[in-house]
Amino acid sequence: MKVDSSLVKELALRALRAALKGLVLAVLLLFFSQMLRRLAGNFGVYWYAVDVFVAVYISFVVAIEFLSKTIFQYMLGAGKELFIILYFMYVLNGGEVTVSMGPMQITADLRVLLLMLVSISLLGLGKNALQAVNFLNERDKGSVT
Amino acid sequence: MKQTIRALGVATTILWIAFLFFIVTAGYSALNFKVELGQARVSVSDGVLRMSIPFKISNAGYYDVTELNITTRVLEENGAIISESATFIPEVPRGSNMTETHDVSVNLKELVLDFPSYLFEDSHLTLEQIVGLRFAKVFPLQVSANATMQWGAPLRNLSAEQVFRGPHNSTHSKAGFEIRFENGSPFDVSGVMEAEVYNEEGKLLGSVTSRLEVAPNSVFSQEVMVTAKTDELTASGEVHLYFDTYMFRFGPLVIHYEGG
Repeated sequence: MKVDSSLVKELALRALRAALKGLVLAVLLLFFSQMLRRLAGNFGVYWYAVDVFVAVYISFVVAIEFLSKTIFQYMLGAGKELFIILYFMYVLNGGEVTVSMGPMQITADLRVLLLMLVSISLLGLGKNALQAVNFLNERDKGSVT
Repeated sequence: MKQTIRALGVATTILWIAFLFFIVTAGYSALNFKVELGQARVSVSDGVLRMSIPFKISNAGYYDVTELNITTRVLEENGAIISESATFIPEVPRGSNMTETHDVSVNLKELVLDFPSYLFEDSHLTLEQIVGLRFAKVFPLQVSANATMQWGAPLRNLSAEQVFRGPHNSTHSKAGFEIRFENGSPFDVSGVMEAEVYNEEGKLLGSVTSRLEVAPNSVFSQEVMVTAKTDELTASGEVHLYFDTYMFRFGPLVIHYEGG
């Protein structure tokens, strides 16, 4: 089977763009995470949760970039927004966060914060859904190949 | 459709930026909200132990802190609340400093009435401190901490023993009783003690009133002599003790004695 050289070139370019985007995002997020750790100290399991989030988020961004100009871009985009909603609802325990630091216990009610996060992610989810519909519409019209 | 998508895109970008900006500034403000505790002043008067704790609040962040509530609970060994004290500050505006005092009081007279064992047995009390506040008028936050405080009994190892019994004259005999205790508390046991001696039939043989001035970690020892008819002075009986100090009032404490 003869492989189309332009397709290979396109895939290689996409992979390179995705890798670069992932690398830049990884450096930024890890720098931000390290700065937070130095300022806020040790919050135990929550730092592990931040690391997991950063890893999965970067994976989504890389995959979205690699699969750009396909329907999968928008499906993964919607998946990314859903991941943000579900992940933060799980990690923040529905908004009631309790952290133990030695003899001290800190309880924070972050429901308002969680609501803000969920609302913004739902907007993003809606945007991805509309983009997917628009993509299919334009593909049917012959604008996208 | 494209305009809608573009508008949604712009809106989500702006909202994400605003959200992250708020998170960063809220985090910075939280780290710059400080409470410094001063030296506590402890006093006892009229049977009430008072602890005044001065504290300084510094809000160098970007947001106001409201509904600041400091609650201190003193719990006995089994978790029952002995006392609860609260200090409420409606608002700590951003960029402000203020000094307040948190008063904790324990009514020792009521404590020994509800939990008499604290007079005689060493124990420990739990100090539960809860600081609640509303950050940026949106986020309720609560910090709680527990500490253990040792309680030394003011009448530790209290005893009343018959140490002497012998004839006084042809019809009467006398008996000597030693009343002894250790003051394990950090305060003086200062006041009056009354001791009544009864025989095994419940007849009052004699009583003595003594002035108490027992320093912390000191031993009090007092001999009580009673003289009664020989047939009334039985080998066993009871000593009834009554304490009236500035810290507590208690009695009768009944101690059975034998032999001598």
